Amino acid sequence: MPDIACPVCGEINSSEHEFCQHCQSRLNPLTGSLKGADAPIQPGQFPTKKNTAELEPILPQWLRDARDNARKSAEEQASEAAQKTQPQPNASTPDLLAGLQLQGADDEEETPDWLATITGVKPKSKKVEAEPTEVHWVELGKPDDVIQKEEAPASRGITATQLPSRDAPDEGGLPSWLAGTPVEDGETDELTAWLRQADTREQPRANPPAPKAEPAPDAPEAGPVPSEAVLPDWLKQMQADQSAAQALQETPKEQSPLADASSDDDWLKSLQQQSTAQVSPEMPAWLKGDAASLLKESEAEVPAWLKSSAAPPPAEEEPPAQEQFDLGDVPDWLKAAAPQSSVYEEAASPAPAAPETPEWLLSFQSHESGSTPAFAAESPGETAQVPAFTEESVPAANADNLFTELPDWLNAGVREPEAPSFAASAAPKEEAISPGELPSWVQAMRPVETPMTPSSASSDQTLETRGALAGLQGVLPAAPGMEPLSKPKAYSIKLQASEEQRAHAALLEQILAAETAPEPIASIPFLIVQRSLRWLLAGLLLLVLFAVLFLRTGLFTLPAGESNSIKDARITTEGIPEKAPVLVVFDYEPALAGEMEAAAAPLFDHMILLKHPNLTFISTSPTGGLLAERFISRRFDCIQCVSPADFNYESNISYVNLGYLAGGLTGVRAFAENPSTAAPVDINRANAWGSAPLQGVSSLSQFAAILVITDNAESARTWIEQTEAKRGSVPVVMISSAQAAPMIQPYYDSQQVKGIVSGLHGAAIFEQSNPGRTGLARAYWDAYSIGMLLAAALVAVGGIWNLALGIRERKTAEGK
Amino acid sequence: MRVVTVVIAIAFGVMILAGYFIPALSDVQTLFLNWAIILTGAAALAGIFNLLSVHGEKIRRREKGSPYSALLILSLLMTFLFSLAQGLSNGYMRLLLNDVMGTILNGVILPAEAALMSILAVTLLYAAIRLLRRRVDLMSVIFLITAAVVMFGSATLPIGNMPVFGALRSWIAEVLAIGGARGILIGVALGTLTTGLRVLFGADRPYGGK
Repeated sequence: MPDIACPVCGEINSSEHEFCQHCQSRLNPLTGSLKGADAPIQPGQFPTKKNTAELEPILPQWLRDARDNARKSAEEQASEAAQKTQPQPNASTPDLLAGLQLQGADDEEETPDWLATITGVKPKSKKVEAEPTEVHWVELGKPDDVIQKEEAPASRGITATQLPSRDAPDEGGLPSWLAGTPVEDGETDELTAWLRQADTREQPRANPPAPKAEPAPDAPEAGPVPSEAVLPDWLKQMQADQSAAQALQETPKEQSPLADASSDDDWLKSLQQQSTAQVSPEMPAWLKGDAASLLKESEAEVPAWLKSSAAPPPAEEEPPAQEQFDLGDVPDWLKAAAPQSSVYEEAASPAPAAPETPEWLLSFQSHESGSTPAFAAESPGETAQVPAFTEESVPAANADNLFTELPDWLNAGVREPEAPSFAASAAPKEEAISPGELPSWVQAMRPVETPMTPSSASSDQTLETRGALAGLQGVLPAAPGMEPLSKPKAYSIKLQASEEQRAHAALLEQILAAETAPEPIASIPFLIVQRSLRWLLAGLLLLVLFAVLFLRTGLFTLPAGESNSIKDARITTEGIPEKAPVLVVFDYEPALAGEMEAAAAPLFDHMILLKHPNLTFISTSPTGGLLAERFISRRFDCIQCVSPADFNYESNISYVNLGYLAGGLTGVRAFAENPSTAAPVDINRANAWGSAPLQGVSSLSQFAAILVITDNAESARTWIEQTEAKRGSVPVVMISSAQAAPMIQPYYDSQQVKGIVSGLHGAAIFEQSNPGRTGLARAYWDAYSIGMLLAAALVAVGGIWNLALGIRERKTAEGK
Repeated sequence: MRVVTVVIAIAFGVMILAGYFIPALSDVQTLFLNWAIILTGAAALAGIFNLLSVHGEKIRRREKGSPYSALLILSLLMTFLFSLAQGLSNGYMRLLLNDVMGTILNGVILPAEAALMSILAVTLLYAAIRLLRRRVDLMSVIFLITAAVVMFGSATLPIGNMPVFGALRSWIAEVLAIGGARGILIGVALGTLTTGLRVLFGADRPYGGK
């Protein structure tokens, strides 16, 4: 049949395989009722309940075989249970061999004589079966690997708690169960007991090799034998085969743990000789039942327990489809243990010494020759003990065969000295694995070089000698085809980067380093120079100005040339009627009080001196009322200066202070609409509109003039615009600071404002219209002029100097 | 809720505007304007309370500058109490409190604000001197030249006015400055008109909401 390509990974697989050997996916999709049964369950999807029997076809082959064998073993157990009702031996110790009981039930298996004498199980006729030489992989599910048929109660192996027979004599050095020595009082080694029994049993089994299903009722009792229910299946099988045992082939005596027991070699050799003549070319005679006659001949010489192991190994592989569990279905743990030691080891099928040599025996020979056994030594302390058979009963020549037929868990106790050889033998067979290739966690799991102490409780002690799991026990052996086909590809851990990429990475690293690198702060000398210059300027100005003010030099002349705005302001004030009400608005801040008072003083002096008006003060600033009171009552600190206080204006007689007008722009409009409503009381909470200064005044248009003293253009605009509709022809004169004059000038040009006196310069010009009456303008003018000239000079010279410095710095920076 | 505020704002604005054109609505206009004055006073009080709250929190958390906040609150309370007492008192007490308030004005407010103004003068002078070192362009040079000319023209010499700078100063103040001022005033007026119309149309909502 052509090979099949895996639909998942695309690898080529043999047509015999149901699942891909690489990705374990199904090669052929399911059809019929099971179509889609192997599809994964999607999230949210509930699995569909199916009958297990319907899913039988999609199960792996090994599982199917196991299920079949299990069914059959159950049936056989039922039949055996009905036939045999042997009492179970009392065991004071736990049944260490309980696992062996799960081997396939074979009614035809017989407990070996040497075992029967110990366990008390009636030996059965042996059945000769060809033992397959192939490697059985547990995970692939050879039926023999999984199924552990229940043995008939009579053929069960001994329990772990079962005490061995005490009939076997002790042969020095070997464990009692192996040497066959009687069990001393208190000794609880069951192996010693039943081996001893087997050793003392000398009567050959006269029962012919019966079929598997038939017991061996004619097997002589060999002392207290464990019940068949305790005996493992393999022992039962060996007993059955013993009845038709063939003469054991000659087996090499290499490394036989009992080689020293020269007296044992004779009976072994005889067994081997007999077995060689009886081996069928296709299947061992002891497996097929043809060795019954051979066993009869050898029964006289071969002890009972050896008879079971004297059956020659199968020459060829058994057919895999065997429904009955026979010796060819030797327990998996035994088969797996005996022929091979690791997954990576070649199927250690030992070269047969002779064509007649059973393969299973050869496998034991190769195993003895130093291959790593599947089971480690269980009882190191029994190294020197002789197995439970006597020298008289066991031919020396057959000693090796005898012990090679023993399961490994028994051999391990004998071969304890070989335990170091496990590692030693395994080491050469291991692949040269450098520690660097193994993951750290695997390396940590690897055992140390010292010999391991095998666990006696484990039934599967396969010691791995190759691969990543070397040194570990109990590892599931890999099935054929599961071996790694090729060495995993090694990937270099070195970063593959081109030169350009390296350059970019270096650049990025520099950028990142620059981000964290501290930037140098501005040099301190530069900051000192800046502060020094400021202090110098401040000190220079203060020194000069204070000096001039203190000295009252009067050197600088007042400005000449009366401007039109100042002239119109003077004319307007001269046109106010005598003792007419005049509204004065104080809308400047206390910070500019010095300039504003100096600017307003000459006009007030001129107006009051000529017309003696009644003044009404109001302000849209909270401090305006106080500034008004300060102005009208201030006496200037200058020589021969005319102060408003000189006019002796008194509150509620000559003037009234309405105080603060709230509302800003809206308040001005409200005042313009109805002054008495917007500001009914003065700052003393007295009725302002009934006082003398406001006698007969009820609206804004009844004032003779409106004087607005302000330091910002916005306030001037507000009073101009909001009162225009209600003031009528009442003239408005602005007294402003120098900074607001340009913004108010357009209103003068549009004749909304009748006159403007701006700053100290305008006051100085206006003051010249009051001959003989000097004011603050004159007192401040020298300092004002010197200050202006000094500032202008500093700006000019300093500007040129810094311009040159700046050009030089920029040229230097460009040059770098 | 946002629709209600918009409706109220537009309605009141339209009525006040209509009062200028419809004499019958002038009284309504006046009434609304009086209400606005009251609300302005209340807004000033709200600002004062916010000032107290901010500086009080600063004092409670002991932040940097909390002593100055404490001094501010103390000064505010003292001035308020004195003013309140001045308004409620009569006769001699009032005169006394008047003198106290005058002392506060003349001794604290005026000197402090005057000192700040003088510092501004020194700072502006220093900035003008170092202007060309930072930025050298045509406008910077024109600015400095104009400042120097005006300052020179504002001052006088013992012999009289500055011969050239005086005339230049007058020309700059009466021609260049006024021209610029007019442009600014026209722009302000147009902006105020546009803003008012946008508020009346609901395009701008400075009173809150989107």
